[in-house]
Amino acid sequence: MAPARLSRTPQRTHMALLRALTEAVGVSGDEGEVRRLVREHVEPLADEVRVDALGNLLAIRRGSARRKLRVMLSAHMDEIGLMVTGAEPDGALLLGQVGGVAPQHLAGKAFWVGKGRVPGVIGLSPPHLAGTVRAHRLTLDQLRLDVGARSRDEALKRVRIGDRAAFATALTRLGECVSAKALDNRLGVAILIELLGAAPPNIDLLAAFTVQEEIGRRGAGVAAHSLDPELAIAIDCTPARDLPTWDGAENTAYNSRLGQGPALYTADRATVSDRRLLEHFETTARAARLPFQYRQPGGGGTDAGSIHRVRKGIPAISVSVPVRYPHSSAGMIRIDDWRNTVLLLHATLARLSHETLTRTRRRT
Amino acid sequence: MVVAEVEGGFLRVGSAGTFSTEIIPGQRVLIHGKRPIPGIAVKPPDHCLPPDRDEGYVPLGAFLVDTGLSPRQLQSQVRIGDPITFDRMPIHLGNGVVAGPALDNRAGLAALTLALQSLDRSGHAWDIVAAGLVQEEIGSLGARTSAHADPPTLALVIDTTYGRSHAEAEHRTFPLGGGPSNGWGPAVHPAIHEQLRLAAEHLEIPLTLEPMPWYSESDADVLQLAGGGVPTGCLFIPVRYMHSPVEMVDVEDIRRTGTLVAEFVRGLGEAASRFLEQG
Repeated sequence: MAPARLSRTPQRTHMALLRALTEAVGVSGDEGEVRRLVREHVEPLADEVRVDALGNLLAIRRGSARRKLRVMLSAHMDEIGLMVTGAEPDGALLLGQVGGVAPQHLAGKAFWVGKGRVPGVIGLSPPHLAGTVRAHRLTLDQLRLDVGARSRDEALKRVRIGDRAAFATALTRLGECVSAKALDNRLGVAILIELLGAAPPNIDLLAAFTVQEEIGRRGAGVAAHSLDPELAIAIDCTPARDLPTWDGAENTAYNSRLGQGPALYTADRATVSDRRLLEHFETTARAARLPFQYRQPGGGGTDAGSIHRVRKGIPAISVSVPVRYPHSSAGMIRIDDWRNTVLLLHATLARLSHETLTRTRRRT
Repeated sequence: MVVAEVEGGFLRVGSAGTFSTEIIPGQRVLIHGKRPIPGIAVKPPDHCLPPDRDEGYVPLGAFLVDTGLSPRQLQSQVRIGDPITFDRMPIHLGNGVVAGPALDNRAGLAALTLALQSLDRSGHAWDIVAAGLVQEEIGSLGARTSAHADPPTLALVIDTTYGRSHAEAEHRTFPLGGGPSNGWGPAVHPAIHEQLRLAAEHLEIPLTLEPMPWYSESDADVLQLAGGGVPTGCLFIPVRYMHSPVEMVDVEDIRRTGTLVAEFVRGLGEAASRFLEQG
């Protein structure tokens, strides 16, 4: 098959894919809807597609060169969300959290509940009544999911205990940006699908669309074990906390910035990136005149955190697209960051060789 | 409302009326500039917020609206003072329950419209002035001026009241689907309260007495003071999660309110002037 053409501006098919992926619901542990969508897109592109015991979708596309590297690219399919844990006599539904979803992002939002996407909302008492009662720092215990039912029985006819709930958000364009739910990490999934369609001949591309990243990176480890790659790259989204400060002081804790290109990881709380891979990305970006930034070292973790300690150790690194307001009802990415991430990843893959990993030159 | 533009294409906002800032993070909004500009209302990360926050309280002035536009694009399309609304379509939750923004008081306008539709011209003796009033949320200014020139013989305020959710005291809230509330207190003329009660009884519409010991927190507070004083009644539709983008109403309560208003109007005849005289 002919390699797909990568473009700096997103084509209509790219945007349609991102819309379908972000509007699909795949709360951690229940990724089926996303997996079906991914499968539909990767089956024509891959030589081999399978789903493992945890629900990871593994798609392999073999290169045509003689001395190929086995390269794992991973992108997690799951998103943070809620689970219905109980129902009160008045029909209000109690909630448990799935992954890092902050209660402050829940009030006043609409949700899709369960497989049937039953509509529901999480409301808040009017300020006239709540002023002295409610602490401003909301907790999940104070909130209920409301499907408009008048009783427990009516509520449980529409949803079941154990159903997942995700933000009900449609993708929309905002200026130079795209806003949607679950950009973390459906954008990574979209990028990986695109790369699978344009895989360079020098590698066997081992694509892992993983599950349960948001609740402890559970899927990526077993995927890496099965695929047994020589190196791995996790494609994810990282928070851009690049907002103006209250008093105009310099924002030095931005983590990453919108519009500055793909964010390369030197280290996060789960992984110290392989220095050879980091250097390979840096030199590729400079050669291809593509922008990049460093994700500020510190907390957090990606699939790489699980992958790099599998078997006898796998050289790994993460590349993320900066996203503002992740884990909320409406995240936001810049389109040029997305496209530059695709281009940088592709250029980097195309320049990979066995020598990339045998060199021991220090990072310059 | 847009109050300032800050670096990097962000807007600072002020409020028109009251709402809880806890509902802000992640809300889609529309800025009504030269054309409607979509944006997201966001809470900046902690390190960008003012320190010494009381119990996690973040003042509205610390929130931002992100449009994704470059500062230059923003300058050409948005002006200080442009209003901002929550950008959300109503959601049908089934069984006639709807959630969405501005149900306070579009629910009231819907009930009034239903009442007018169901009134036959020959069926009522009095002239009806249906008034869609502005600026209630910032001090009932529309009610103040519209009743000034020609104060009505009688006024009925159709608005919303606190719909009960899991989080509120029972005595201050009204269940969705339980019918409208009939205001009772100093803002309400007792004879109108009684006429509404009788009309509801006649129609077998559930109607709950709403004690309003001081203010009605509606246009009634100024309408009753128009001119030399206007006998005023209050009919309120329960709306849950009031002043949020997911206010919730039972459409049946709107329908009942419309029916009740029409019945009340039909009952205004020769005798009405007399029931307004207090003993």
